[in-house]
Amino acid sequence: MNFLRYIASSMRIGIYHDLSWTNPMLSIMLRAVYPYSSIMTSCLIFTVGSKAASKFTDVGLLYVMIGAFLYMHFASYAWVPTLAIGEGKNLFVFQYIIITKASSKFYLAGRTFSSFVVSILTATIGFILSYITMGSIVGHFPQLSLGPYSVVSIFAISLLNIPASLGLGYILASYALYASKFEWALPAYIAGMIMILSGALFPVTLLPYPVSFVAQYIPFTEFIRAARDVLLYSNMSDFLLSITTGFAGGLILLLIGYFVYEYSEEKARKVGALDRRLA
Amino acid sequence: MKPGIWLRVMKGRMMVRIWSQFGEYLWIISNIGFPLLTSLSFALLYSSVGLKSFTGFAVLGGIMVSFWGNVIWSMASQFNWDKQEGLFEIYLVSPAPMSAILIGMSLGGIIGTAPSAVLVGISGYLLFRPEFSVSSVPALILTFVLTLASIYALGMMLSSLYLAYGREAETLNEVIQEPISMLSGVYFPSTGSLSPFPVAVQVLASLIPLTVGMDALRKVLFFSGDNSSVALNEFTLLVMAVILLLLSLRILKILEEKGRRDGTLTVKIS
Amino acid sequence: MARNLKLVAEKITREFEVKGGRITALYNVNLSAWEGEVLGVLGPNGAGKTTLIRILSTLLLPTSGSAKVMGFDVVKEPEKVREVINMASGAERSGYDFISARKNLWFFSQLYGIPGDEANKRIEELAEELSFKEYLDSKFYSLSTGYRQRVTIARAFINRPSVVFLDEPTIGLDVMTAMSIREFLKRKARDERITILLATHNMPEVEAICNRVAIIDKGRIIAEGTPEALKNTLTLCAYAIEIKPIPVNLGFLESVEGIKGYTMKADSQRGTATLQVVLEDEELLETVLFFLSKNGIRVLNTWRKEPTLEEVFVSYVGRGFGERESES
Repeated sequence: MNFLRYIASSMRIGIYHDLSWTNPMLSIMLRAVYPYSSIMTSCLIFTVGSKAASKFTDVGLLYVMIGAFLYMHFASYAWVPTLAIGEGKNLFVFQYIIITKASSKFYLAGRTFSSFVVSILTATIGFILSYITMGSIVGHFPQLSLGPYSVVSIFAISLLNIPASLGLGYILASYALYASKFEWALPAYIAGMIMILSGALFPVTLLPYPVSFVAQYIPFTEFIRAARDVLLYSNMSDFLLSITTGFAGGLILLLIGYFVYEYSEEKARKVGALDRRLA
Repeated sequence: MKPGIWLRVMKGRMMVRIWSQFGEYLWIISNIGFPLLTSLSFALLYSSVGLKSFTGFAVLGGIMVSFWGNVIWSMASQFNWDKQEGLFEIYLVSPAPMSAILIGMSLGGIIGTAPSAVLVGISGYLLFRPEFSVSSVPALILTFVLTLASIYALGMMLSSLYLAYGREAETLNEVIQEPISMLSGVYFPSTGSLSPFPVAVQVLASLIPLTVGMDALRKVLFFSGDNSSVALNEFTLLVMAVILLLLSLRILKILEEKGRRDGTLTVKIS
Repeated sequence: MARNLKLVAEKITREFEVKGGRITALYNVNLSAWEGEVLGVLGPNGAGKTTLIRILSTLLLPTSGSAKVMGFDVVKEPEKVREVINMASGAERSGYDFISARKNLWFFSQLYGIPGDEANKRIEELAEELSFKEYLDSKFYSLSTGYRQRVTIARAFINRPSVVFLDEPTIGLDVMTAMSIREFLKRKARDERITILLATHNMPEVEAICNRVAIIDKGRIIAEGTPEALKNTLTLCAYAIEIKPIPVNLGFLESVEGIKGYTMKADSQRGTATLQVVLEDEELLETVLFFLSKNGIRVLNTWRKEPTLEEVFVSYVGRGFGERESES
């Protein structure tokens, strides 16, 4: 069970990395500013646009708010393996992780889990603050199906998404293993693509075929749909179907990510990219 | 000071930026990703509520976010990075005027970011065909130039201010990037009759140069505004640019003196 | 030829606020350097060399004392000082990654307002002298450590400075690169009359290129002179004693009267150590050997040493560089 120890110690490093630069509470609050502002921007665009088109509805606003919240959460920690590799190469840490008997995959998993913890906290704070702020902007608080059951369901969604984010993280990290520069560019593109393809802000049916068809079956789309089923439509049967499909898709993504990463690590050894400092 | 040194330093610093960006085409490609896809998302969001006429706001937002990102990540944090890499002390032990370095950095940043911003604009236009209504091209150019001048002057001030910080400067950058982007209404009007914000927030938002600039740009691009309709915005932007530039030089001087006293101008202390 | 004094530091003291009090990084440092002279400031890590350079190059104010470079006060006239100096450190990165070495050097020349043609000519000359001409158009990030450092050294001379401050300029470099940089520095001082202040803990480097050397320890200059003169003042005798096993503690030697100092280098692979002792009298060697044997240490070999700057340091401080660094 040594791999659990590797993952736990990497998680610890990740938490230190994210929070210990100042008081942890202050750090969490400051990190919540970004998701809060992003969720707010999406909600405000919806509000301005829908009011100008006389199509504003509470359901529409919550649809965007929930989507933006989960997108922020999912996307933020899928980046982490890439960041960990980029930073690790420049600080000469990554090569030491590679040469230990603990696999770097466990290190990246630990870093992803720690970022998941930080992200769920900050995105949730961002969501709550956005809900309150938008409530005061539109003059009333839109009706959310909130209760212990829905809170647990949202947490379950968040947990069940981990394989998908980690799988995506491994795929992006495979690129970072080779990159000598701009390792951050691919995750930026992928994060933007997910924003469009996951239906975070609008129904994926709005996208042209076959993009809309593919987008429906991305795990992130399923999980965002599931969250809306719980918080907005109280539709439990669809919820269960969505999380099951999402989780299955996430596991497939994780499996693909794992093997792609393993293959890339071996290739990167051959070309001598594992310990190459990034420009 | 040697005659002509100001211009030489300014040109030198500008060229470093331009060479860095144009010498690596990947820079341009990499820089497009986030603003392009975000503006596409928001344009689709406008479309989803049946308001195709507002998709132009999202495309304009994408263009300006390219510059805003450059201000935040390549202007504001630049001196701090230079300090950590040992480059800032090279500036200091030379006779180079800091104002020339800051302005060179800004001009280089604007020129270097322009291709990404243009590509975002072209892509957005081709995908959504937003409707423009420009009645005065000079007003559009003047507003655009003044908006860039004022946001880059803000970048200069942040750059000077961040010298007082270590690694936390990056986190502070992350903390301010999105709220400023949101408050200044990069993708939607945050001031005026279409603004969703209460008056107090609109007043607060108007203190940010980006807000004033975006408001003016929307007027001249989408609502047939001419120089007279954006005169107040243009004047405000000019004043803001001058004040921020002077403020940044003052902060730089104070921090340099403090750094020489306390030994914080360079990272290593032995 | 009349010699001009280019750098004078008088009673420089610098204290830093640290948690729980103040530390004195420099105390009453007096120093001077002449035109065309390479002045070495030799001391272990943490001795105050970098602090001294930071003060003289206008990056840091002294707590007290004064210094002039080319007649300009470093405290009151930093702008004038900056016109005539330059500096480089072995620890800096000193270049923008995504542009070539040539463009980096051109940019740094612009910080001094050098016209384009003159700057380009200067870059070519320096690249020729430092043997990196073939890498001038390579991106900075693609250069090896040695070539980056050559570019860094070239940068320090781009403005034809009158005084150059170099902080461990050859640290981490291979022998050949270090040698070529040393030769370059010697030529610059000799042919172009540039005054170079070289802070280092590398004793062979000082012996190879410095006209004079100031030995610094714990913020104080403890000896100053030409390397030869400093070694000649050593009327004491130095011995190297090869011993086994590697002793954990040599504190017992401190009780032996007449031992001015000692330093030890361990060879853990062989399990032996070379103890260098500086003695007031050669007859004391017997006593040292006796004490070693009494403490269970076997003497494998003993020989008399030609004095080096390390022995000079040991004779003044009572410890070698290694011990001093681990103390600080």
